[in-house]
Amino acid sequence: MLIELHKVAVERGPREVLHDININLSEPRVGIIGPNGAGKSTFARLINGLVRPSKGRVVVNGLEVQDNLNAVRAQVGFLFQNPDNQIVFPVVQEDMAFGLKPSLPDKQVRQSRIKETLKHLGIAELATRAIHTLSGGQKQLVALATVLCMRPDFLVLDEPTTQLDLRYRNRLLAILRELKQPLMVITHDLDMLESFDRVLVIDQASIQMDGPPDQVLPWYRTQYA
Amino acid sequence: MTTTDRSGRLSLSTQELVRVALFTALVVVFAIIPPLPMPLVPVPLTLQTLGVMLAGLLLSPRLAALSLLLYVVLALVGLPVLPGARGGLAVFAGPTGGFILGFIPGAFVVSWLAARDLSQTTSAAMIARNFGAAVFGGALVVYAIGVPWLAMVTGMSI
Amino acid sequence: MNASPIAKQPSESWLHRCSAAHKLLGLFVLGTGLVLVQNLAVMAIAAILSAAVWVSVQWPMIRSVCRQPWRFNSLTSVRQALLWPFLTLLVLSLYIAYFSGWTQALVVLLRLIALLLLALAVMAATPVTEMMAVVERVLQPLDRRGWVKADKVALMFGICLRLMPVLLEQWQDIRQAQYARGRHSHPIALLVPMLVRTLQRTNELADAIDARGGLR
Repeated sequence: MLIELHKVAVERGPREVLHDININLSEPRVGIIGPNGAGKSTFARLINGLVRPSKGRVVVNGLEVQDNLNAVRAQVGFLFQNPDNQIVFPVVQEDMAFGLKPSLPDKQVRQSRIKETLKHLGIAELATRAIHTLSGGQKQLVALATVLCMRPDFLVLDEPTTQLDLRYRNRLLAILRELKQPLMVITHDLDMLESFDRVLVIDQASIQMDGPPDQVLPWYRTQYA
Repeated sequence: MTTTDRSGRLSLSTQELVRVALFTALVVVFAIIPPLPMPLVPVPLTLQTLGVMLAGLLLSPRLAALSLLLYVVLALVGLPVLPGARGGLAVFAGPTGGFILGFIPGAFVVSWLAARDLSQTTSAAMIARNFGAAVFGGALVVYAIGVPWLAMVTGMSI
Repeated sequence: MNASPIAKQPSESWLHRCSAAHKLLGLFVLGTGLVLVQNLAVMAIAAILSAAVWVSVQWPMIRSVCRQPWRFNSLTSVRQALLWPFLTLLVLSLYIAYFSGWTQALVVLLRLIALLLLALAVMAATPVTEMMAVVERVLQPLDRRGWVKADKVALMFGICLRLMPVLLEQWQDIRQAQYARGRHSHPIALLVPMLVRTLQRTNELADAIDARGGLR
């Protein structure tokens, strides 16, 4: 999985949210940190085309994102921060089926994929539950299930643990550790990134620091404390 | 953005579809929260009509009507989305059924009349126009459907 | 129908066994007939028959209500469920009696009672899921003709049902936040944050749908 950004800039009105970003990402575990509003979420959304660059190109596995939105989105799974704004159907397995229908038209195959994914995340018993009866942590795991069941090649997670209590945070992190797909995680949870391969600091519309966590994290902690 | 696809049909974009569904949910919430005491009004009112007017003011005419159509179907099907957590066929068999059906053209008219072109009007004129549109669509059109329905159901000549 | 103990749907009855399409068609035909007829005797018979139908469907509930000791609590909920419709009917009848005489008022009253009881009977015998299935069946031929995309309609229903409890909670959160600030508001003051947050959700939800492949 190779993600390339060539001279990417994102403008929103008069403001430049990201400026002249040039970077190639291929590590299995990449973290993105930085102060709020600095452009981290925008950066993440460039990868699956939810944000269109005002200048430059974004290429995912050789595909120009803006020209191949469907293909790229089939490869890139995106977990949003708030599961209430991600899950669209009222019952867990209904929502998962919605994502799967186009690629798995056979109902049996779909159902078994759904069961398998829920089991993998340890929430098999939630299959027929109504979403609004679930706790925040359960909802986030369900949201992850809806993304994972589509077997993406790459996962982007936008602040996945910010709204979780400690128990569910640990549970989610344990799941992420085991995932075979390469991940990119935007987070404020610096501890989570200790085991990662690469960490980027995004601030003032550009990448301020880029390197392994044992270099970047201490730097960040002193600079942005 | 509403696009016209190859066959010439108008189709909903994701944004539009989500907006319609959300406004329907909003009307439901406004309808079922307990009536609130309003300033200047002696009786607690439900916000249901307000919800309908908002759908009209904030959506295009087509989407506003669609949103209320969704609401009516939810009520018809039996979900407790009407004031007092009521719903189902019984409401439409009774005298108030027409008023609920009237929400659909009501929201459409509110939207249609409300100021769309912002460059030509002063803000005072725009507020007045929106208010007028809301009252006309929200009240008059709804009554234009509701009252004949009531007359029909009761067999009265009004 | 009111979300009260009276409205709990019975799970079995002769009417349950009829198909939803038949029930709805029957209701439509009978309803139209009732509206067209003006004869007092016919209306009285219709009302009695409708009552019979309703009672036959709701018999288990009626029996359990009668069996309960007549505690004040159970009566309150019964009273609440029936009060408003009863008052409406009363006012309507008086109004018509004033303008068109007692016979006409009685006809109208009986008609409304008949319509209401028939509709209630069909409602009690048709769970929401069955009704939704009817909606789906109605949409299928329209989908095949290309007038309507059934998938998109299903998604709209899904989003709506999914977001109802979420928006309700959102409203309560906003109210509580305002009360905590000492402002015993004004529902209008709650509107702006409510609308702003709802529109934000629109964007996020649309993004989430697009990220999963969008509408196809």
